[in-house]
Amino acid sequence: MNAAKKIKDPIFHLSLPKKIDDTTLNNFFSQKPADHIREVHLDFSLTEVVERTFYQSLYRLKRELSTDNIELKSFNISKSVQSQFHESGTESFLNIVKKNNSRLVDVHFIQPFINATVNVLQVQAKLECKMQTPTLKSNFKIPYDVDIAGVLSLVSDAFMGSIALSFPKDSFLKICSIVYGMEFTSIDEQTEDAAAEFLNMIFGGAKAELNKDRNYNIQKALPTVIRAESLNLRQYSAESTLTLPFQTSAGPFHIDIEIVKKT
Amino acid sequence: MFDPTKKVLIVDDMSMIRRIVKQSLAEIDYKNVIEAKDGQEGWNLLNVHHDDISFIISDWNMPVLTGIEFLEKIRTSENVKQIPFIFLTAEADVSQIKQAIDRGADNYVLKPFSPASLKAKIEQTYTKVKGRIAA
Repeated sequence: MNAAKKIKDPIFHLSLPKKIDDTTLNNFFSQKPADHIREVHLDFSLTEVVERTFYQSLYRLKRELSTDNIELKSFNISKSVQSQFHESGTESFLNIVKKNNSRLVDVHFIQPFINATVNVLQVQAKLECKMQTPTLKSNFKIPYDVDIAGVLSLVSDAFMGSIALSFPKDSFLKICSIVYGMEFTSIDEQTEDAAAEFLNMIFGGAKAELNKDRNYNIQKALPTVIRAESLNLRQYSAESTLTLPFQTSAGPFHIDIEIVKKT
Repeated sequence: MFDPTKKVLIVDDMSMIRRIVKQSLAEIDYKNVIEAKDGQEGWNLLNVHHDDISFIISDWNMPVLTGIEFLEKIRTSENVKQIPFIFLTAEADVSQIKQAIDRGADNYVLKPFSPASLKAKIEQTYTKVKGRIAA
């Protein structure tokens, strides 16, 4: 886990649940924001019910952030929810930004996937895994042929999307040889499992972190394996797919993450 | 600790995980292992070997018969209901873990796991169930 490359984004994105009350911000309050955080974004896309007890938490949030010179902004707030804040006299704390520009695939979303990937490779294959610079898929020319990939659908209350874990044959077989403790020279039914199971473990780790800290409510999903020579995976849109390239002593591989906001 | 001469039943649809569990168990001297790729196959093996099974390590999300269905069959069958059951999951999801423990799982192991963490969970499980399996 220690080898995970940390990306410092100045924005902390918090997706609020359907019903918000005095417990909603507990996770946030339990840890002091990192020094590089300059803005906290509250995303109200899912919120329908505001319990009165939330107003006190909001006041505390605003006060603590002001002390640390951090700006609070609120996005995607419905008229009915906004009017509840208005009536309570706390609307001005929210700093509502009308334009829907709070990002979903941001650093806070991808960092758990990076952490989980590094952890899974380290624990299960004893491989140190270094992430290269993340980039939009449309700008990323894969420097190898993809021969096998595990893919999985991402479904949550707020968005849908997919994750693909892709390997060239050489890297994949070397990693499998380490994990299985025997040498493989071709991808077969037995080794195909590894692509699915690695993705399953990465997804499981990232999902737990995102659901706990960000209230995303990402649903359970099972991976599927796709095999082909020079596989070219098409997700929803290359323009909104982020590619995370990794390098290990067994060779490179990459993860594509695509998120589309539900309308 | 559990009797190392008795069998450990590993149930997982992923051969990679069965392999990793088997290797990890071998490192801590549990070398007598039988494997199944889903709950139904596990159930069939359990019915043949039940007198000789020390404990079960089983995945949760499996085809044919899931981990929870497999566990329910075990806990409602007189001749095997005492067998310790450790479930494997890739999801650090508190509600899923609680559900498994409520249904009769004795412990859980989060994937990914090292031989040392598996050993610690097995020891913890033994401490928890030794009174039950001795009875």
